[in-house]
Amino acid sequence: MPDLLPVRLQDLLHPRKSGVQEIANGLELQRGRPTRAGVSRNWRRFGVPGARFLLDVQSGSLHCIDEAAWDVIGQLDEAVPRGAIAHIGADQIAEVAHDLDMLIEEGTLSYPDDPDTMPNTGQTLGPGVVKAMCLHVAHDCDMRCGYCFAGTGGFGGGRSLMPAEVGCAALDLLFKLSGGIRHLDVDFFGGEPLLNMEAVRTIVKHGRRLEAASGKVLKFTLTTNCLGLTPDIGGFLNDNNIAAVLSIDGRPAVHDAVRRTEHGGPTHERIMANALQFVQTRPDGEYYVRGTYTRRNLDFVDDVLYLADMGFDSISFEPVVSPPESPYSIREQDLPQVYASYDRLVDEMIARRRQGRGFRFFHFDLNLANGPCLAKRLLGCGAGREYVAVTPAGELYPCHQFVGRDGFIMGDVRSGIARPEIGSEFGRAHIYAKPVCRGCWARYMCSGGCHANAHQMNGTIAEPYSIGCRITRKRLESALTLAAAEATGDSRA
Amino acid sequence: MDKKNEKKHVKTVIASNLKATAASGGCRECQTSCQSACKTSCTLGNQACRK
Repeated sequence: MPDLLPVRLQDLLHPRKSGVQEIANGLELQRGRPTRAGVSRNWRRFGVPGARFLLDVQSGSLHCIDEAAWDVIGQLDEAVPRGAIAHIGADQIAEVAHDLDMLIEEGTLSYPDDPDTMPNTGQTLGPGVVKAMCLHVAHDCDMRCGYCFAGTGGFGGGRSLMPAEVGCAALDLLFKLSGGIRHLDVDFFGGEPLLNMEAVRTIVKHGRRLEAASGKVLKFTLTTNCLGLTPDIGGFLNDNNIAAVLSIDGRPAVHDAVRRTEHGGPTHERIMANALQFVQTRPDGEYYVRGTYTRRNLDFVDDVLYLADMGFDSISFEPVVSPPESPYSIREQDLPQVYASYDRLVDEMIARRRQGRGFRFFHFDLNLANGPCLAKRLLGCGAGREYVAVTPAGELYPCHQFVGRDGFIMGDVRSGIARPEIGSEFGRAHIYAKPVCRGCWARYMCSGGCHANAHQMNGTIAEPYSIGCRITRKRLESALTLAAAEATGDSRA
Repeated sequence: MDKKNEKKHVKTVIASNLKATAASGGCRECQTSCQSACKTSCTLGNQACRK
């Protein structure tokens, strides 16, 4: 794996002293003092009123720390000015150092300058094994949303529907390419997939046949704007155990300002009725109501809470991705308001859970103790390697957001992947290869972010979209705060 | 608790050992999904290992 961070021999041949005790005792000693860069990339200190936390990036462990520990660690990464911890007695400093050393011994805290662990992924991170597909069953839509990246359905091309045989051929290819991998994922997407339900029904039937014959597990998900979500279609989704992603942007005025019919009419009332009816028919079925927030509703926390109050208990909200000149795009000056919304959301979720009326917020559902392995975290979503999108004509792209972008056609459903070098390029875009990711404390949780956003904003998948990074880091801190609160049963951890 | 092992300023909330997962190189059975703006994206950390 030549592209990954090299392990220096001196790191292996000269075991370090635990060091922190020595460092914090005096904070003047140079020998053994971790570098500021090491502290900031491997120890993430963050706080909210009444609680302070330390995330160990490399192990993924989360610790609550008190004010003394906060200040001593701050001194290590020079975030706290020298002398600022003069109020802390030498005994307390020594205690903090002792505690940190113990965590290092236990393996729940990494020494700040430890190099990143090298996963045993073999010699290459080139083209992967395709195990997930996004089927664009409809390059058409019955809505005209202002921020739609898909050109309101056509993805920059003509409007079309995927013939069922193309979708079935895609599944055949998926089962073939996935080799020995057992769990496969297929998303029905568009445009609006409900415009092509006949094909969806045929493709699902075909997929279940392949599943039974192969012993693999095929999970379907369908993303819909809910405008045409009839009880009959809902019944089909329930009967076939298909997860649903329901697009609603929250409060009526917020939603209707952006999500309009073909003729410019409002959609909220009809969509909300359809979505609620559907969700009520699947008490145990998997679904998410997901919204997009823009600079026009930076108070999106009120949209999340509105949806929770309407009765949805699985909610996801994400920032719009639009060109900087778009009236919807999130800009740097908007970030304080975005951050404030996440802070308020954490407060509200803690309060509601204590009252027995909690709900799930997708991005806050961190699985710290049993999350993905390190190898998975290097490469993130798997676009172009493990995951491809299929157009109605059967062309393969690295993911749905790359559809229509020049130079990204990887092959087609009949002949397979003709350009594996595209997958290799995505394989090279791992977190250890991106300077900005290598120094980031969030690297193992965001895995470098969305390749399509990076390409759209920076013209390359090698450089992440910076505003997306900043929102992701804030969202992760919020998620960790909530996780700590849950783990301790305290209001704030 | 042994006083020597007692921590006064730090309390571990969630103990994880991500480093240990490096050895396997991954079984690749994990969910593969999307991080982008239109589908519900995955912050990788919120996926459970299927193993």
